[in-house]
Amino acid sequence: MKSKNSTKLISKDYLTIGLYTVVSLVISFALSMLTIPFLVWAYPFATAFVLFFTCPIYLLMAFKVGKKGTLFIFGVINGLFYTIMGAPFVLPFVLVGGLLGEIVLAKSGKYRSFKSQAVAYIIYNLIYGFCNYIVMAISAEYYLSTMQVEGALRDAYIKYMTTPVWIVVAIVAVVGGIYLGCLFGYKLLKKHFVKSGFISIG
Amino acid sequence: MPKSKNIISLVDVSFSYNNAEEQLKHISINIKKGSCILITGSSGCGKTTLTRLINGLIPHYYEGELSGDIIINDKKTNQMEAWEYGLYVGSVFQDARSQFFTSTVIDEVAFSAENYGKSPKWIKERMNSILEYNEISYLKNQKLINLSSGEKQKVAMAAAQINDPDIYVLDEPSANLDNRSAWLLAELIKQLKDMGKTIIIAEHRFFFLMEVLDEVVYMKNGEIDARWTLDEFAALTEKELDYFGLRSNKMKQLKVKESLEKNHDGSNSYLEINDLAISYNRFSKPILTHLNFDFKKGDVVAITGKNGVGKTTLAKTICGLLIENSGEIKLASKTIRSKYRLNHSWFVLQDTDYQLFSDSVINEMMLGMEQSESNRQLAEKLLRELNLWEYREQHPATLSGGQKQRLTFAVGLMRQPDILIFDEPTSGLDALNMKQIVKLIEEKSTKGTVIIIISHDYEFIDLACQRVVHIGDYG
Amino acid sequence: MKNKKIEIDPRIQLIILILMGCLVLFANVNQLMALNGFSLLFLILNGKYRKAFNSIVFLVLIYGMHHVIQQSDQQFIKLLGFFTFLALRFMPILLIASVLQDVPSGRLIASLQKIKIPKNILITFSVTLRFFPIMQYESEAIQMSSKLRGLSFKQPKNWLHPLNSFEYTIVPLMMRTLKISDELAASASTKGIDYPAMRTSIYVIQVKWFDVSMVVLFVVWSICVFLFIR
Repeated sequence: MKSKNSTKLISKDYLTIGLYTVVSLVISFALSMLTIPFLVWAYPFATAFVLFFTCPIYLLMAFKVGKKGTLFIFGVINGLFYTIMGAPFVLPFVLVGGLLGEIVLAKSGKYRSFKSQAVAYIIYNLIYGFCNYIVMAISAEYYLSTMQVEGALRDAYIKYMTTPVWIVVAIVAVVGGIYLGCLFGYKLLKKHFVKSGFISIG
Repeated sequence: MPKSKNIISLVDVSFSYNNAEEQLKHISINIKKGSCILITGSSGCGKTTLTRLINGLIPHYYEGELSGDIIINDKKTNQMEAWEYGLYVGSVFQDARSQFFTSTVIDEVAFSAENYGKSPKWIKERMNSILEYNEISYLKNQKLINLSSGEKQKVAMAAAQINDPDIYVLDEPSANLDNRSAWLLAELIKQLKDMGKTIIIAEHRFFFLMEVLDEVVYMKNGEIDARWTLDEFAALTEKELDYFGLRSNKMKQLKVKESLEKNHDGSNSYLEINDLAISYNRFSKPILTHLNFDFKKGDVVAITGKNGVGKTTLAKTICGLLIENSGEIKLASKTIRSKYRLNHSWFVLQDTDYQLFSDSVINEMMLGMEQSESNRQLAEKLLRELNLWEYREQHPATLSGGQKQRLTFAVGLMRQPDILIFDEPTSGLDALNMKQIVKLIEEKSTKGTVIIIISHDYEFIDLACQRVVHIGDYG
Repeated sequence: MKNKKIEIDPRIQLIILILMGCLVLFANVNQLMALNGFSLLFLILNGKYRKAFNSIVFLVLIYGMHHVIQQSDQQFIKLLGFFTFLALRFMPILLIASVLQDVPSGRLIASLQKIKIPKNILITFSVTLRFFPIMQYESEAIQMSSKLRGLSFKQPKNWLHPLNSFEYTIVPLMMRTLKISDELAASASTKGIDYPAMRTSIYVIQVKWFDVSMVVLFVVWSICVFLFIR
C-alpha cells in the first residue's frame, strides 16, 4: 500500500487543528473574563496569564499533527473567529505572527520538538499580543483624554501602557508566560498523551 | 442482473493496525447484493475493523499492514482512491455528535453530495425525496443542536443516502438509541433493503433487527467463526447464544415488576424520595414533579423512559449534583441535602471518558482521597477484585471500554457510597461484559447499597434489577 | 423555502463587519451611539426583532450609566466609565456579528468559497463553528464528574492547586477532543471530503440589490455620523 504523504496537511489534520483551536479560544475567553477587573492596571500580566494556559493545548495540537502549516492555520482560524466576533483588526496580526512562527519551525526542521514549538508560539503570540496591546493602549488613551481623567490614576495608566520600560515588561511577561506554559504543557503531554500512546515525541 | 451477484468479496484478507497484532486473520467472505448482514461477536473480535475495509477507512484512514483482495462492485479496492468509496458506500457511525459537519439538517444531508461536486438542482431534488422517504420532512428547517438523539440518527441515515450508494455500513448505530428509536431504525433499514440496497451492520445489540436480517456472521479473534441464515440464528437457544457470548435475539418484555407507588411501610425504607420536583438548575421550571419512591437497603431499581424525559436529571439530583426544586430526600429517616448526597453517592456515567482524570490506574484510585496507607490498601483490594490490578501502572486511556467502566466503578467504591447510580451501563458492551456488571451489582446490593440504574436494556434489567420505575408515557 | 426576511449575502455582512470594526476605533461616545443605531437597523432588516429590542434596552441603559459616570468627579468612578465605553464600542460589532452567526453553515461556506478561500480551510471553519456547542456539552459533563470527585473549580479548596485543577479539567477535554476529531475526520473521509474537484453548494450565492443598498446605506450612514455628530 502506498504510504501517506507525510509532510502535507491532509483533511484529518485540518479538522484536528480546527477543533483544538476552538478549545484554545474558549479557554482564552473564559480566562480573559476572569482578568477583566485587573485589566486597566495589569494588562501586560493579564495577557501572559491567559496565554500560559493555552500552551498545553497548542503543544498537543502541534505534536499531534507534526507538520508544516499547523501554526499558520491555527492563526487563520483564530483570526477568522475574532473577526466574526467583532475584532477584525486581529486578522492581519495573526497571519503575520503565524507566518513568522512557521519560518522558525521550518528552519529548525523539527515539528515535534519542544524548543522549536515554544519559540514559534512565543513569536506568534508576541505579534498577536502586540496588536491587542496597541488597540487597548489607543482606546485607553483616547478615553482618558476625552473624559478628562486626571491625576494619579491617569498617569499610572499612561505609564503602564506607553512608556518603553513597561512595554518591555509586557514583552518579558508574555515570553516568560509562554515559556513556562509550554514547560507545563510539555509535562502534561508526556504524562498523559505520550504515556497513553496518542502522541509520539520527536 | 444475476440473482445472487456478489457485491462485496473479501479474499484471504488479513490486517493489523500499525504496531499492533493481527486484527483480521485470513478472512474470506462473499456478500450478495441486496442482503442485510449482521456482523457480531465479543468486543475486540474485529467486526468494526471488517466494516472499515468496506467503507475505505482501511487502508486510507487507519494505516497498517493489509494483505488479500477486497472487491467492491466488481472493482478491486487497491485500485480505488480514498474518496471513491463514498460514492458506493454510505457510512453511519455510533455517535451522532461526531458525524455532523454543518449546523442545519438540510446542510448536513446535502454535505456529501456537495463534496462530490453534484449539481445543486440534483442535490435539492434528491434531498427532498430523501427527507420524505425517511419521514423527516418536518425537521427540514431545524438546526441540528435542537434535535433529540433519535432524530439525529435519522438525519445521519438520511445524509448517508444522498449519493444513493449501493452499500450501507452501519457501525453500532443503536448504541445511543432507546428501544423505540431502535425499532424505527430497523424499519428504515428494511426500506433500504426493499430498494435493493446491501446493508452491513456491526452490532452487539440486535434483537430489533431480527425481521430485517438475511444472515449473521459471527467473528472471534479476527476470524469468521460461524455464519447463520436468519432462521438458523433465530432458532439459537439462550444457552447457545451464551456460548457464543452474544446478547439475546428476542425482544424481551420486562419481567421485573413495576412499582411506582410509595410503599407505606415506611419503616423499611432506607432511601425515601418525597414529593420531589427536579429541574435543570435551581432557577428553571421543574421538568418532573411529585416524584415519590422508596428504596430499601440493597434495592436494585431500574429507571426506564424515553430519551430526554428527565431520567438523567433525576439521577443527578439524587446524587447531589443538582439541587432539588422542591420536596425532600431522606436517608435512614434523616433529610439529606445535596452536599451530603454528593459525598455519599456515586454516579457512573454512560461515557466513562469523562470520569477518568489521572495518568495511571492506581493514581486514579487515590485521586482526591487522603493519601493514607489504609486507602492504598483499599485501592489494591478493589483493583484486585475487579481484575484491574495488573493494569495499575497503565494510563486509564489505554484500557478497553469494559475495563474503564470497572475502573470508574472502583473509583466510586473507594468512597464507600450509600447510593450508586448507573447511566446506561451496558451501552456498547458485549454479553460477557454485561454479565460482569450484573455480578458486580449483585455483590454491592448484598452489602446494602441502594443501586439505581437508568437503562433501556431490558435483557440487562431482567438480570440485574428487582424493580422498575417508569417515567413518562409508554411507547 | 421562501423566507419573508431579507438575507444579506454573507460576504457583504463580513465586509460591513470589518468596516464597522475599524470605524469604532475612531468614534467618540455620541458617534458610537449613532453607529449602534445602524447595527440595530441591520438587526431589524434581518428579522432579528427580539434581539434588536433587547439590545436597544441594553444600549439605553449603558448610555445612561455612562452619562451618570461622566457627571461624577471621582477619579475611580470615571475609570469605571472606561468599561461602559468599551461596551458601547463593541456593541455595533457584536450585533452585526450575531446576524452572521445565524447564517446556516452551508451558506457561509458557499459564499466564502466564492472569494477563493481554500476548501480545507472552509471545512475546518465550518466544523469549528459546529464544535462550540459540543464543547460546551463536553465541558459540562467533565465539570459534573470533577464535582463528583471533589476536584472541580467550584470548590474553593482546589484554587490552592490551580495547576493541578487545570490539569483535571483540561486533560479529559483534550482526550475527548482527540477522539472527536478522529471520528469526525473518519466520517469526513467516507463522505468524499478528499474529492479533488470543486465543491458545489445548494445555496446560490449572488449579490442582489438589497446587498448593494445595504452597503450604500452603511457608507452614507457612517459619513453622516462622522460629519454631523460631535
